[in-house]
Amino acid sequence: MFHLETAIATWRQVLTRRRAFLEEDLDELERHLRDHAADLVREGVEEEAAFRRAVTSLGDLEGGETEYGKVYWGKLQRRRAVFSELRWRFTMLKNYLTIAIRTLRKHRSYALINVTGLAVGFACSFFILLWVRSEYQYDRFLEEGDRIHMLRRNVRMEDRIYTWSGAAKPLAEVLDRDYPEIEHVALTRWPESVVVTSDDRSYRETGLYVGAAFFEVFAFPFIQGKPAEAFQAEDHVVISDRLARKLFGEDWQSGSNAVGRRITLDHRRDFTVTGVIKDVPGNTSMQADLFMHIADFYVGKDWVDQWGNNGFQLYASLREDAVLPAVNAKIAGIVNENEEGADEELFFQPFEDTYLYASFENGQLVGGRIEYVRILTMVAVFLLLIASINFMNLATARGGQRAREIGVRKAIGANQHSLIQQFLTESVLLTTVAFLLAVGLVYALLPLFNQVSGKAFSRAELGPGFLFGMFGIACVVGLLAGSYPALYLSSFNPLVVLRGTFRHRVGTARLRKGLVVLQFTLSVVLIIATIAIYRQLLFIRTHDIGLDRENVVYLAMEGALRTQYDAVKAELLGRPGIAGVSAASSQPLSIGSSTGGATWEGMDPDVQREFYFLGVDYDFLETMRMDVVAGRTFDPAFGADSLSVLVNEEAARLIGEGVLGATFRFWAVTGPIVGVVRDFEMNSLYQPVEPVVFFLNPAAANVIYVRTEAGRTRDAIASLEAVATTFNPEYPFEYRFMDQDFEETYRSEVVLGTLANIFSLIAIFISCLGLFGLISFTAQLRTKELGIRKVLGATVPNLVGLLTGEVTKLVLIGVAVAIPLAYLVVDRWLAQFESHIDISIGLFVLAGVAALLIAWLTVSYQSIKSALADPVRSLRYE
Amino acid sequence: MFPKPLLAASFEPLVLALLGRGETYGYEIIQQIQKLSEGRISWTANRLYPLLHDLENRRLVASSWRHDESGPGRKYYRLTAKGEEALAHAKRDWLDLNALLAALWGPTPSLAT
Repeated sequence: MFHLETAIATWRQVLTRRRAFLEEDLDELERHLRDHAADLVREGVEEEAAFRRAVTSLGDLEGGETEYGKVYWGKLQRRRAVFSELRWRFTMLKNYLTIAIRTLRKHRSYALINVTGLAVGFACSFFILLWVRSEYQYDRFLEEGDRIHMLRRNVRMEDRIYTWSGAAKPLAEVLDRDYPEIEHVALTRWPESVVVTSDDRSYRETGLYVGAAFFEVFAFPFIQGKPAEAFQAEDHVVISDRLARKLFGEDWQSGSNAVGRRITLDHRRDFTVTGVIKDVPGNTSMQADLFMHIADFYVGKDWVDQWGNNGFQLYASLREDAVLPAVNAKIAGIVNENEEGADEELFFQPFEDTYLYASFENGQLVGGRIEYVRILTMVAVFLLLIASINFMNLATARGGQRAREIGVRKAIGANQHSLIQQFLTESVLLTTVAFLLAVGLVYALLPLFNQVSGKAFSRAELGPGFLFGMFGIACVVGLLAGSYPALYLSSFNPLVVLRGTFRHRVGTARLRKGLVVLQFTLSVVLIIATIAIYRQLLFIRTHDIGLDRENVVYLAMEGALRTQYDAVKAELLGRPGIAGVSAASSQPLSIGSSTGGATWEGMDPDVQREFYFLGVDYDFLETMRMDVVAGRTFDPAFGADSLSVLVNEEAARLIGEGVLGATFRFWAVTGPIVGVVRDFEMNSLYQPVEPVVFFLNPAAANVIYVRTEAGRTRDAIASLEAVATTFNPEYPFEYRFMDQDFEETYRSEVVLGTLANIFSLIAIFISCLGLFGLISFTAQLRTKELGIRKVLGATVPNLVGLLTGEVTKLVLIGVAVAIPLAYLVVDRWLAQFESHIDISIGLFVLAGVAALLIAWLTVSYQSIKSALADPVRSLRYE
Repeated sequence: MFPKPLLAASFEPLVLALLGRGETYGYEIIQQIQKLSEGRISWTANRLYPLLHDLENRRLVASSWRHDESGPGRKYYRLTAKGEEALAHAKRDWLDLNALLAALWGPTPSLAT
């Protein structure tokens, strides 16, 4: 029996659940309905039919809801009801949260796997982003730092272009005088060790010779003194706050002025402090505590005025309106115009880029440290991806378990929209927990990370800005990873689900498999890259560099060590632990001095090549254990050896036939080539070996090399200290080991290697965590199937094979996809080393096998457990 | 029936025009337009009410409830001053448009020269 009032009440109840309708809208609609129905009845339509026609003519429900929804917020604003609406939303959110917490509690292992994977992934990416951020901030701390530029030269020699940063003094003068786009020009030398004495106390500090306009180019903030007046005489110096505290006491600022005080440098002469700057931050290449006037360096050095002598670095600040390409086009040919025979092109590089982009090949910028930044950023993205995939896979795989819950919810009136909100709340809750854990991990492990990365991050750097950004990333990951499961789960048809015939869609299983493949692809790329980096590092450490760098100590040749070198050498040789003593003008592993002006007997006049030179003492080759492949070494028995020279193999190849005995000339040196030295890494592993010439000149040496007897380093150092302090009592005793220096040269590689190792391991760990969770669910779903198979006679190995076979297939696909990708990445990285390992098939096989083994290990526990399970139990179930 | 785009474009001006003839309520508006258009325009409640609410949000119309014996009261809508203005605007636009079309379709040969 139809009852109009009941029908209207039911109709109204359905609409009440729809969020877009306000109570008064429903009143309005109800009255409309009643009016319409009443009219129809009056026309003679039966009551029930009239009601139905009236409802139909209202229009469709979904469309109406959308239309009402569009004006909803406006209505709330008009009615000043926004607050109550928000309160309602908040209540809903609270409800979602309560349910989410309940669900997660119920599925603890699921929550644990997800949160662990995400937290570890987050923590690692936060570390990496912290590192990446600091790399990008390097050298970017100065006001108007974007106006500072460094001069580089593209020098053409034979068929190659070399990019150097050296510049000559006359060039600086021309740039300063003739180019209005350039505001200030400042030359600098390279940082060097200087002994600073004040009040009879001496310290060894890092000093830098700089041009008078240095502080106008680099706007370091001054505590005392004025940048423009810092260098008015050649005995003027500027020191850092740190050095001022050391020299004049912690409270130097409250006491007398530091400006005007006298300090002694290298026990040579007195200098006047004209300024104190704030300490230079740690993340810049301009590391020095003492800035000396370059005019002091010029004293007694005629060569500084030659165009060909590029013994300086040149920095310039450009005017604000200067356009870099235009300036570069103007300055390109200056050296060629002034120096005969020069073939080089000048250009400015923004100073802020010089740290990350310093690698040039044939005149073109090819990268530099930015490669490491890119590699690690990629690792961070990989980690986030892998962790998100875990999340998605576990959530969708678990759908079977939650299907019934979803069905019931839908049956009692939840729509897809609110279910999506429910699932997203769950995933955001999980990500938030993971985020908090990750922040805790980052805080706790920061000192360890500092140790590994060689950076000095303080906890203060993890300020609100950084945390906020990271939380943003975490939320995006949570929403993205949560959105697919939310859409998928909420789309279940309640009828099907509740009837108990629920089946995952084929498409989802395929997607899940695809995601596992992606995870393993990423992991294998990381494994391959890690092994390659590790092998290259090993190669660097064990590679024969042409001399024996172990057990070699060196110290600066200064004071009496220089003036009484022969006596020092004799004294040292008689002491315990010392096997050999020699001296050279610079480090043989990074020879800085070179000349383009070398000639020799029978030289092809077209050949133009830079020769690196090293002034050495007798015994240098013996002390360094360098090999002579032809001829002989310097020998005091030959009286005329002070004119002889030795060359390396590269030089011998260039000179060609009859190298021994040929007369060699450069600068003031003219003499016969008496021997050929086996090639050694005279530059760095990034660069090819260049021609080197050795000449005998102990007086011009700057460094004393001491070979210690193996295993007796301690005795040797004691001997060295005794001798050094006897001869040079006023100099602080300081020495360095050659092998440690070598390691430091490749420190960025070592850091990258270590970081890559750690993060790859973690990526693999997270992948495995996901795989473990996934296989557990699969096994659970297939319990019955496995039981039946067993009853029908399948053996345990059969079943284990069945379960692992699937995984094997996925991992193998992942490996296959990863290999070409990894090849590209590794090849690119190795290309920057002149000497590097070859990429072998073994590398890929090793990585593939490793990935497979790890995957098998991960799933073995669960597969064996399922295979061993008693079929009676699993089949009796239900 | 008119084509959809025409119906959509004329929806708001027509509602404003009907309200311009005096205070009225939703059901009556639907009945009136049906009668005036001789059945060529029929609006559903689901579209009309959101439009009325939107006009109210934009302060073009004001509303008041009136109660009688049968069920919930009726919500009456009337134009505000701002609404009158909007109606005048709409009127001008549509008349201009109408004039243009009339000129184009009319018998005047002036365009050809």
